[in-house]
Amino acid sequence: MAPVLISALEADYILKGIDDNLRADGRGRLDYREVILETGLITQAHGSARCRLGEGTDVLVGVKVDIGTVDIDGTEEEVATVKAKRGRVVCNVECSPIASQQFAGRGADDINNELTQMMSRVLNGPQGGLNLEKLCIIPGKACWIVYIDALVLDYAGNIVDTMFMTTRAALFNTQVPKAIIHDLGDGEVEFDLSEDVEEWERIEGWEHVPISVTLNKIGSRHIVDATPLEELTTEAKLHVMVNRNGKICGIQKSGSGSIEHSLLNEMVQTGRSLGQNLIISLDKMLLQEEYDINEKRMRNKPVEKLGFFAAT
Amino acid sequence: MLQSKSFLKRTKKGNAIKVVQEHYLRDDIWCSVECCKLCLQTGPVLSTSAMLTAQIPRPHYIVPDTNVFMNQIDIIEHPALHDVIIMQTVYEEIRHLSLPIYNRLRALINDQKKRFYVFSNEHHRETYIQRLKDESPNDRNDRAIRSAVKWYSTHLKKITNKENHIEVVLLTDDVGNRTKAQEEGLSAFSVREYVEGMTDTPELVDILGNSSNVEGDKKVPYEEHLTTSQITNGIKNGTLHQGTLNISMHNYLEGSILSNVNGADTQIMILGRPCLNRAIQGDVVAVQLLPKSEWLRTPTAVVVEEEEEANVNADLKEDGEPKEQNDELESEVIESSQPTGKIVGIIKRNWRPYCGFISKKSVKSSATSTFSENVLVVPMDRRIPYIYIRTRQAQNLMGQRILVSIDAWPKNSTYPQGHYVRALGAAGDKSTETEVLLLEHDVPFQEFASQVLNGLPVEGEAWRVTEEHLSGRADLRHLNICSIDPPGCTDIDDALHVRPLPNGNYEVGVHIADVTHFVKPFTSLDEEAANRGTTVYLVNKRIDMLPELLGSNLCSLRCNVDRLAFSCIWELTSDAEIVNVNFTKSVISSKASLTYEEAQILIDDTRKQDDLTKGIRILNQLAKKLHKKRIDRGAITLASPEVRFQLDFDSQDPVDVEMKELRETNALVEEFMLLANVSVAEKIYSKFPASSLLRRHPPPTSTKLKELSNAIKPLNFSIEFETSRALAESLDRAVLSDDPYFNKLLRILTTRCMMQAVYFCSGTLQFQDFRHYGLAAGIYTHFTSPIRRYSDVIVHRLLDAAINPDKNYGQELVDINKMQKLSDVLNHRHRMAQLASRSSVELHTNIFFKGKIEHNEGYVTRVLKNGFIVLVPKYGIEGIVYSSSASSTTKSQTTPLVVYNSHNNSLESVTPSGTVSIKLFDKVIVQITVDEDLVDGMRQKMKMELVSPFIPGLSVSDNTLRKKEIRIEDEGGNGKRMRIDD
Repeated sequence: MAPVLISALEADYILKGIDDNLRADGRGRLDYREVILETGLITQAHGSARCRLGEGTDVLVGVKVDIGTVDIDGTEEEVATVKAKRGRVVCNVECSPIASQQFAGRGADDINNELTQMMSRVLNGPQGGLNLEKLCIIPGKACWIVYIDALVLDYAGNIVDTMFMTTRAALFNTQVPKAIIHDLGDGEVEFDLSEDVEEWERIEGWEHVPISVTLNKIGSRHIVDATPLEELTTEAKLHVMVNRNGKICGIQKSGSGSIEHSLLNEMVQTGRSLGQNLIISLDKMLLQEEYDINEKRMRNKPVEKLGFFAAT
Repeated sequence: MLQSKSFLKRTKKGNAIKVVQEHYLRDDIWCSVECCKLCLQTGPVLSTSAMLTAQIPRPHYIVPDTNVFMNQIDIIEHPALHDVIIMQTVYEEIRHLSLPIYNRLRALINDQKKRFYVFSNEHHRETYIQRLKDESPNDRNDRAIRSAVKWYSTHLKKITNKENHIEVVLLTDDVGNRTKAQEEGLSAFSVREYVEGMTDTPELVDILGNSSNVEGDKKVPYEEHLTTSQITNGIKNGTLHQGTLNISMHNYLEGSILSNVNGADTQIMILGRPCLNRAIQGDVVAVQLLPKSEWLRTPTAVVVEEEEEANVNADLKEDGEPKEQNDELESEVIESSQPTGKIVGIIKRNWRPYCGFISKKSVKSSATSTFSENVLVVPMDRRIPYIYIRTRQAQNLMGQRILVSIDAWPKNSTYPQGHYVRALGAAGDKSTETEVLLLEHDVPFQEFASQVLNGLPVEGEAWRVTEEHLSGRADLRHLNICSIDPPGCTDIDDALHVRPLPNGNYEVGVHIADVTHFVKPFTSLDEEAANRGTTVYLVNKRIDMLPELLGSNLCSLRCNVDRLAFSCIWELTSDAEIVNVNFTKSVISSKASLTYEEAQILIDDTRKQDDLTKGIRILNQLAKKLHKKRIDRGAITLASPEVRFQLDFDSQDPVDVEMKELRETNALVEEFMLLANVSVAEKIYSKFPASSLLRRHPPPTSTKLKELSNAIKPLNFSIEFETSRALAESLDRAVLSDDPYFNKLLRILTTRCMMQAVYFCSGTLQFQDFRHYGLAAGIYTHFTSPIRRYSDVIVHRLLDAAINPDKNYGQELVDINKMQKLSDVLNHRHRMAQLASRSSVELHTNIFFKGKIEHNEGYVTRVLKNGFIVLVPKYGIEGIVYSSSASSTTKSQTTPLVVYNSHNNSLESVTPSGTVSIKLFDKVIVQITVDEDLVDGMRQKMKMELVSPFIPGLSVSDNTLRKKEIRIEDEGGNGKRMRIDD
């Protein structure tokens, strides 16, 4: 990312504000901006969600599931006992050049890689929450591969948190087609897909998918949900991945500054409690949205989507 | 308003793709009711004089559910039903479920008299519904139908007042849907309820599909069929074999399939009802081989099994099943063990409506009863099992031929269950029987539809060749062209001419009717002709491929009128060698339409010296040379015992039978037609190497010929069959001086060992497989009869494209797949047409012999274990003489009258006067009668009984013939005297 300069006065202003627990847009240190989240707006995908944070950051996540072969890289034992019985998650994050000047040209490559890897690490392990065994159709042979594509459409700070929130919602929204397994005898099995799209299953374990809370160390204090200017003032960042049970699922630090031991502890605890609350309200919203859609369908009323015009 | 519809698709690689389609809802879909003022429709379909029944005395429209079409399409097709609304939901479901029914439905919608209207409820803003969570697609569709019915019902209330109110009635056999509809305040009925309310047309109740009303006898439980995926997998890994089931003509419990076992094409036998497992002739089935130890079941075992079955079905047999199985023959002894299997699944059903008659014994009701009862229908096709139907007109239908459809064959029912479709007429009536044989052979024999007739030239009979037609055509009207055909022929395909050239060679032209000028591709006329495939000749009737205007007039090369032709003109040396050949479209004017006989008289009458006659003589000379060359190449002269009936002019009943006479002139025409076909085949193949429609004749399989060769060994003859030439020569050698018929008989039997000649697309085979074995030609096609064969029409198009480099031709001429598919259809039609004409001959033979008892000389053509087959040359008929009397086949015989000697393939009997043996080619005398009592007198059958040589207990001892001397005309001249004793 090309270094973006910020004037010393501006940085000082932000620093002082944070000390006084009053940020430039009126928030306190641990306040999030308003979140607009909607699912199911890409009909072609198996699941999708779009999230807009405040006036700026906008992430669209599409989930596509496809049939593939199980992962057979690794030792024989590992393959036989673990990998052969699992589905896979493949992530890809792309920052659109229209979102910010920083993403233009080659500028986005590094950040794209960083974000993709972060998401992939979190979701592919046991901490990712998804029940990968359930994604296996025929052990050793066929499985579902979950492709998660996140597209950053607009940037106004805090991409990571937005991205994880949207991904979680998109996974909730994902409809995996039902595979019908036929026993052909002689231990041979074959499967068919139910042609009926309404006969679907939700990805098991979506509720355990963590979200991220990014804490930015500015001065001796830390804030959440930083704006671009605040991010420029940040000395060090800590992404804390939390699931709905308040369990830490991953921590990643970025930025050049250092974090003292006591502050680190404090930041993780803050991230944990904030994240858990965020998940709870997020889930409530997702279930409500689904319920509303079904209600409307039942009464044969048109279901209208906010689509891409949603904004605060 | 936009909605989206999505579904899942799997690609060939196995990926799952979600396909999303946009679905727009509209507010301009009209109700199509005649009196509606609200809708802006033009040409409403539904009339205000809608259905009225005794049960629903108010006018109403019917909305049938999908299941009604699927199970009761015959009811829907009945003229008594009209003014029907078909919901788009239903329409689409049918398209997915069954293409034949969908096509029948389309025909109904197009029939203006039926007034069927398709309502696009899925696109209608007010009737479209979205599927709910946890709702199955079926439930959703049912709800969509109800929603549309509801819309109609409120809409009709709006547009009609109290007096002329019209209702909508939902017909469904789905109880759930019906109750839900009734709960929603809609009127809904099951088909049975509705039809029973139609008191004016009581026969409708019989047409009701037979889905579950027969209590199967649990004694013959069939094995469950495997699932589709199990079958696919089994075929993939070679444990199962796929093939089309072919049931033996002699024994309906003996079937076989041709399938590839371990790399070789093998015939797999399937014996007995449990192994046939509910498969019917023509079904594509999956077969599992039985262990080798069970392979060795000789045909005797089949009969034993049948006996068991007879016991199992004892009660059924007593009052139900006609004891017809007694008729069945044991087929020849199978020497080596034959792979034997059982059917484990049915890949594709090939059910069609079957003609048959009600078995008298299965009818229990009294003459006045109108209760519906289950009766057995005996299909005319012996390979089809009996069919249960439920009818209340059993008494009326007895003695009639009826058409029935099979609905299902549940595993606990011995016979399939079906329903009555319509009555065809009284059995034995010639027109009924003709219709039966046309139906049974799948011959399209309806009148040409108006759409097809619209494709004919508007001038009709007044159509003339004009100057316009001359462009691009050679004007050959000045030539002395004549046609030679059988007497009474109206569809003259071909004409000939010859003229000497200054260099001593001859120019010979074969002119074929230019049918493709009138039949253009992609017209309904062309499609109809392609579907008919061929003209079918019956004894008393001809089923045309092309409408009469074309076939008998505009295309027919009649004399003294200008006609369009496709000409093939050779320069031949006086030795009939081809110097060159030229093809051109032309205009000709035939100078004479001769019969074979007239042409023969012209040739023989030396006083005639006009150009035409001279021409015919030259042609005759050339034809003889061509014939000789062909014979030298190894063409085989085949023979068939065909006969010709002389029909009574008024009644069209046969009054006499005569052998088809062959004259020199027949051969004359034939030689030039063969020449033309070969020349055309070469031409089209040079231009379209991949997509030419050709005809081939595969060499015969050696096993059958070997049997025949062994049979004539005692007579010091043999049959060589390595090449067609060797075969032809060995046939020529086999002449018995005291029996001129022997050679013909041998040729007839050799012909039966031959494979069928077939059409094929040149791109599907290697060049060496193109050979026409019988004609000894390397390449062959059909070009010379476009009026009566569709293959020739295609060949005309190909040739036209081949000779005109600038001609635009349709892609269909170069599409290998389409061409192969077409040739498959043509082969099927061709075969069926042959079988239909054979059946027609058989029918007329039976009429001829009705009430007659004749003694005639015949030849043994096949020796079986319990009988032998006799061919009577005089009538060209063949029949079975049973060596064991009918009653003794099922019971074990203590002293068999006749013993089969497998050593020399003969039947032997020890009589007081010595041993009498019957073997192949023996001359015997048989008594021919038509057995009318067989199976309730509904299936007439030629019966032959042995008269001489005399075998006690087997030969007939008719009182009227007792001690009567019969002189047998022996062609050998030494008239033998035979005495009939008892």
